[in-house]
Amino acid sequence: MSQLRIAIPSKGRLKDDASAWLEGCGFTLRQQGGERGYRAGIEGLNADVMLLSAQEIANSLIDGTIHFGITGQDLLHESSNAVMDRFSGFTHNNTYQPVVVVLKPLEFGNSNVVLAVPRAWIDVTSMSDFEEVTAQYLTNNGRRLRVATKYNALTRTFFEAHGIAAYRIVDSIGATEAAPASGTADAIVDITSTGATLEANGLKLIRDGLILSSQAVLAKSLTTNWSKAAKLSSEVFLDAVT
Amino acid sequence: MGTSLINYFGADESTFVDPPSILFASIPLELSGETVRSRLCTFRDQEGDEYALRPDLTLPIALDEIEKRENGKKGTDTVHYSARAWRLPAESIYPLEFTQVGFEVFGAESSAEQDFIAFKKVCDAAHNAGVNQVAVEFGDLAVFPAFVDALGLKKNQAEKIKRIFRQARDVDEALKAVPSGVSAELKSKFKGMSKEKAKSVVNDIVKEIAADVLGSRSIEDITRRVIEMVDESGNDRPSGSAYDILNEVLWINVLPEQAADTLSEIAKASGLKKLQPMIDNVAKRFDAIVEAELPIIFESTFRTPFGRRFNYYDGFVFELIDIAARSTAPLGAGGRYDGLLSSLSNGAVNETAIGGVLRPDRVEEAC
Repeated sequence: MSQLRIAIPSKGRLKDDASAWLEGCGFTLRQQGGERGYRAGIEGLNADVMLLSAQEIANSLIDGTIHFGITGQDLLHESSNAVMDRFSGFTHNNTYQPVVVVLKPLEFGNSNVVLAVPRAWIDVTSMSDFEEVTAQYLTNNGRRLRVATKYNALTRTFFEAHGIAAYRIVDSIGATEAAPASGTADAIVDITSTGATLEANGLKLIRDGLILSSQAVLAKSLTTNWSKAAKLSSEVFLDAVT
Repeated sequence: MGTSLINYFGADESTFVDPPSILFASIPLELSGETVRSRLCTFRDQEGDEYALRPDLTLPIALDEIEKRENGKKGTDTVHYSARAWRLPAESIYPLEFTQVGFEVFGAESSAEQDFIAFKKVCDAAHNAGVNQVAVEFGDLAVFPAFVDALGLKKNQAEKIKRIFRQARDVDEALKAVPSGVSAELKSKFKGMSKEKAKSVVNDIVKEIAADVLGSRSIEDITRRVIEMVDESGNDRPSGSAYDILNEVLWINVLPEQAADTLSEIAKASGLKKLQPMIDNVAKRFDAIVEAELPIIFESTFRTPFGRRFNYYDGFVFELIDIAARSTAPLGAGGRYDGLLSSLSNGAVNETAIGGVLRPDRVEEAC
């Protein structure tokens, strides 16, 4: 990897906001192959820019195939518990040698990873209530309440911190908020910006059920190799963006 | 090494068993929850069904025992095994795949004498294999819950404290966390209401907020809990004296021969009389162990919280640690799990169980 490699989201609002932020820092993107291309150059910087999904950017930062990336804090923390992030407030159970460091919150892509339960559960307003309900359900029925999520790691960490053990995770890839209505789960852990979708699906937030307040961040891989050229470009890049 | 141990465990009237290596992942996950997932070796088939390699031998053997009992097996059943198990290691220095040699006794009397016999069997097998001296950690997972029950706390409060104990969380910190509680509005609405009336009111509230999604819980479940919350509101933490008693019991760390006297003193000072049978059982068990003067025991301690994160176990528990290696990884362990068959069979089979296990690799290192 001789050249500096930077990844930004490949589509949607995140891509637009990331491009605009880079532009504001003095770096104009020139996407190769038009709007659908997955590579770009940056004027004034010797760097290879890749347009990837936000999840791929998180994975690439962790495995060291890129030097810098713009992605969501939720995806970084879900993908590894070795993320150094003084901006998130999320605490992993174990401390590992960091593989990624969050350099800067970018103030776009804001959303919250939350626990949501059926609105009809009028007896559940706190995590303590949720703990009690899950435990009682297991005692009375011999099986566990199910939580649909794609955030398995964040859910396990957060629930363990609140002493919640009597649950099962149901893997959910899409339309997680519909899982309780469709009968595949009893509660969900999902990302939400306004909570409107949750409400439309008969769900509610509980008062201490915020798992992670997430936004787009600029992050640096700590596992990648650095050539002399990449180091030089990195200094130029960091001077401008941090 | 494995052969010498299995010969020892198989010497009495015991049946050798070789249970399946692969289980439906839902069995350990339903039994122990998602926290066990980080230690399970799991995989999916082409249908998407999830399986796990057995994380120990106790679980598949217990499943076999349930099947035997459902097919009419009665009385005491002693089995022994020597087989591989798979567990993702908590630290990379430990192997993922290892051999366990052990025994399980189902349907015998749940007594101090049986506890002693099981413990002695593990010690003798290790000694017979060449281990000279070990440090022993003892616990009894029935002690703390017995004190909680004897204090006469409100039901939900008592159950919550017992759960916090088993999760190895700081009881004080956990009770200070955001309390469960019912809003003033609900409290005034439900106070003194009959169950039937409360159910109808809960129904009305749910209709009013147009909440037709209930998950697996029913209106009855929600009503029952609302009523309990109204009845028990303001009682999230036990009283100061109850709290002090529990804290004293929780941190007992004494020689095994002092365990019963220590428990007795706390019970007497607190005026808790119903605990005597449990304390007598502790006394009888440790008296037998001390009187046996087992040559392998170099030192031993009893701690109330010891073993509280162990799956399955619900009574006497022990671990043997190689004193030369001073590793915290035990070369042998065992204990009582009287509730396991019932949990796994949804109450259909209710038989006592006790077992012990040795790790031949660690026994060899200790010789």
